Amino acid sequence: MVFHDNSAVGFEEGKADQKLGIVARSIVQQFVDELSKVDGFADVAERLHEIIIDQQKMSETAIQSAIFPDPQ
Amino acid sequence: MIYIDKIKIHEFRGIRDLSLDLNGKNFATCGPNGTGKSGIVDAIEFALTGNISRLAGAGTGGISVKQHGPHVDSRDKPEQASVTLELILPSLSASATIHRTVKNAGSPTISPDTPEVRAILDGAALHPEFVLSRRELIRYVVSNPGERSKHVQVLLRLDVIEKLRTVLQKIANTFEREAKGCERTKQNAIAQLKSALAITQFDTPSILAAVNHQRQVLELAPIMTLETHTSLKDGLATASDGEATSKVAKAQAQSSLTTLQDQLSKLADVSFKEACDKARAIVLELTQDSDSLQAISRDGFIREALKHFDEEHCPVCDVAWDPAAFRAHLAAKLERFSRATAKRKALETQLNLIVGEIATLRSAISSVRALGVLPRNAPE
Repeated sequence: MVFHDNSAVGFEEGKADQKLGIVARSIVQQFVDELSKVDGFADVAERLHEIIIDQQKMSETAIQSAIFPDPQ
Repeated sequence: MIYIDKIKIHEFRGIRDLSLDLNGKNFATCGPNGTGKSGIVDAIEFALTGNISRLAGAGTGGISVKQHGPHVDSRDKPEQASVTLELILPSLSASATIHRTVKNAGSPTISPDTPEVRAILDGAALHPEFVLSRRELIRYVVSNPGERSKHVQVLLRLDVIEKLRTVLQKIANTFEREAKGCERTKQNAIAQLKSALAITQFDTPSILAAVNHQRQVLELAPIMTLETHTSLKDGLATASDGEATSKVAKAQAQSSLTTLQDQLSKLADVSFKEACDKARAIVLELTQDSDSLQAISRDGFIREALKHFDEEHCPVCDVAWDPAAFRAHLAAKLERFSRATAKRKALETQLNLIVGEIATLRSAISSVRALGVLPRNAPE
């Protein structure tokens, strides 16, 4: 692990990249894999994988449309 | 895991030229301010990612890697600012070299440039925690033990997972609320359907049996399968087909229909049939006996004569009569007609019973007709 001093240019507290890091990606991947094993949720898991991991979209609208693709 | 074997830094940040042999071991730097300690860290991050996180993002103003990455004396020569890392890759049991210049920060030179080596380097770029600021470290060290997991999550950039969890929870809560309402609606609909069809079991066979029984009454074809789009009223002419609608008071309608049903039951009852049979038998007997018919007609006539007798003359022929003799004469005649009279009274009794029941039925039919549920062309 490498440490550095960023005091010279400032640091925004709590700022995090919206992109999935490798740890977060691994956690989401595990969640999607487990979801795909649940009866009747394979399609939902596949769509969540595409939206969250492939397209890196995490808005409520995008995720809701992945879980409930039928507008009704 | 990546171990750093050697670092070569040239015209980068505050470093003119530096080579370090780390041999894959941990290392620390120390020295006065401005001697380039952070430059080594920046060089490692730049070599692996092409970026220097503390020169990018919010709060860094107009600072950029391209302008501020090179040494101040080589600011206009980004092609001379470069970092070379010689790496040890234990998972591949191999070594590799990555060389990157500020001018072509997005296009490093990798040797050997194999997919396996690139995959490891790309994986390192996705580990944002491999460069940690002093402030991030201090915040973790001084935090309460109970909050350290939260700080670890921040260091690992796992707040995106928390955001994702919040979104999923919000969606779940929203649909859980809607599901409760839908469940109530469903149960109400089931209860109403069971009540309407007078069934206790809510399953397809029970529903179809009850529905088809009623459809049979209405002379409609039976429904064989029950799908989500199946209409139980399929084929039934409704008010929307041109008939004007009018509201019917349910209690009144039920009462009228019950009365009509009761009255129809009475007419189908054995006692009513017996009354009809008795009346028919008496009529048959009277029509076959001409003397009896004559006696019945004369009986009435004589009774009228008695009623109009003025105690002196017969009201029919004006012959003078002794009152006692006149009454005795007519009483003798009436006595002769008594058998036929008794039959007539018995017939009247039976007919009164029959006519009374029919009058009640007519009244019941009129009540039902007033509800508008009988066809307009139904007989009066």
